[in-house]
Amino acid sequence: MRRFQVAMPKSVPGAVAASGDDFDETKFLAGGTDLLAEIKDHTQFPDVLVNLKSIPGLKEIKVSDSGVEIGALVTLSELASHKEIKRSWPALVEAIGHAASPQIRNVGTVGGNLCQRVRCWYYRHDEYPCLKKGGQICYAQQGENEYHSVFGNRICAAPHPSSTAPVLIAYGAQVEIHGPEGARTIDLEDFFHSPEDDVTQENILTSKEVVTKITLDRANTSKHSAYCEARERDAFDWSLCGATVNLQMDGDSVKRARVVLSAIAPTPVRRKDLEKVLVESGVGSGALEKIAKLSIRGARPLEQNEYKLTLVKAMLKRAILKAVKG
Amino acid sequence: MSNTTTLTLRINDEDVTVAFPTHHTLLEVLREECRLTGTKHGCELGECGTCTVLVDGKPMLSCLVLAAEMDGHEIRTVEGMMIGNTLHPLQQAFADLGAAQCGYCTPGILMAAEALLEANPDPTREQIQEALAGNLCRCTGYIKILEAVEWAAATQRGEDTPPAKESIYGSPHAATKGE
Ligand SMILES: Cc1cc2nc3c(=O)[nH]c(=O)nc-3n(C[C@H](O)[C@H](O)[C@H](O)COP(=O)(O)OP(=O)(O)OC[C@H]3O[C@@H](n4cnc5c(N)ncnc54)[C@H](O)[C@@H]3O)c2cc1C
Ligand code: FES
Ligand code: FES
Repeated sequence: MRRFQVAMPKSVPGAVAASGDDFDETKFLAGGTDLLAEIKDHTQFPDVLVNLKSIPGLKEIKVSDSGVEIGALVTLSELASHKEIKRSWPALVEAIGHAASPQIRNVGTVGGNLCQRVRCWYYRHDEYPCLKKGGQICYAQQGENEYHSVFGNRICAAPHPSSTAPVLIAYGAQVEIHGPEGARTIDLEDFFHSPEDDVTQENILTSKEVVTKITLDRANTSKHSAYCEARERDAFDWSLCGATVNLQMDGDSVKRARVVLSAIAPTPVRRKDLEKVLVESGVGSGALEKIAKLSIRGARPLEQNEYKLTLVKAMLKRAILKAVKG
Repeated sequence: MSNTTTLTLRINDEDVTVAFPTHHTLLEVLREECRLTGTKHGCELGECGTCTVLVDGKPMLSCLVLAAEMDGHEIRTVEGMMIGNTLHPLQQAFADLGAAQCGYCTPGILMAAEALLEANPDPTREQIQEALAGNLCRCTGYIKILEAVEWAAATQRGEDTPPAKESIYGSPHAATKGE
């Protein structure tokens, strides 16, 4: 692995102060399960890793009457085994259960999961100077694109790999970000940006900004929530397509809905059009067919990934039926 | 900040003071500085699990953590499994049942299985599969590994049960079906 030094700040402002003006200077280190692999793969070249694990207070899960605050450094295992998360945000536990392996979940953090880079094999290969690395073309457009995006893929076709992001968005999560100007809180939905915004980064963070916590409000959860994903292998595999559905129900009718698709576009995709149909038409078989049909409108499958359209429809229906059951 | 780190690592209940390049992984330091070569280099990217060690009792991938971060943590490797001169029940079961062929995945699988049995002395087949989901084996086909973990668990619980021989005779379920 390329040589680097490690800074050990003791506070969030200390971490911000230790960070450089671009990502080649410094990268924040959380669990390292993605970052160290990137350095080995020669896709990142930081001179200094700013270790967030040396900062106290970022590893806590704080439960209150209104909801829960999850420190960015909480590991995926800690999150999925937390009693209150299991009780009140079950789709999150479901999604984490399928993500990576037990070893990786023991180290990988929720903040790192949201900030992880794409898994496109052209991006991860040092012989392909793709758009994400400042190059001129997206090799996946005409290349091996079996696992790539079917939506929003005109510039870069790498799908966003996070399994927690879609579920957290469906639960209305907010993220707290610290930077040189202090702290701000935004909806997680607005955290990710598309290749049209900036193809070289998947989220809005600058090299000097740290995610410190994720907040979930009880008002936005429901026992009628579910996450379903399709994989090639049963265990230890990336999602090919994920659907998260979070419904507020009153008898058979849907009062409020959140629908988020994942692994099929460069960002997790909230589908307000489908949410509207759920509220207006409910969850009967007619409505489900309508939603399935509508779900793939605007898709642009590449040469090898048209099968993902079938998965989008199937995972959506599955997640809706599972959510209704509660 | 410096290019070299000197630390006293706690490995298999012993303190070992080592100096190593700051950017080296725990896997590199275990193998190169500590000469503990039981832990294997595989993919180096988190995909195979053969580098699994226990840190504070939890399975982690030594290829994806920095040794520089191991201050104050308890590390266990496959070299720490034997109890005196006696093989750990898991090691004994793997040897007796032929749950290792080339053996390259074995140290990692033993560590993941040890952590499982520590937390859950009587795991179901499904729980064993889940605990070993991050460990690839290219030789055995996994069934013998699952049988060995089940047998070792039974031995550790003090039960004198013969091992399942599904890998030889097929699954009991399939046998009933055939009758
Ligand atoms: C084989 C394999 C399979 C996997 N399968 C899945 C899967 O199915 N689903 C899934 O969701 N994930 C999967 N992952 C990814 C894994 O979940 C992530 O690597 C992990 O969650 C990243 O967390 P980390 O703490 O290790 O992050 P790091 O590796 O430490 O950081 C990742 C990136 O985020 C930045 N970063 C980290 N924390 C912060 C912060 N608080 N503020 C600002 N920037 C930050 C880092 O600078 C770096 O760029 C898999 C990984 C592997 C290796
Ligand atoms: S060598 Fe660490 S997971 Fe393969
Ligand atoms: S015994 Fe050869 S890889 Fe498992």
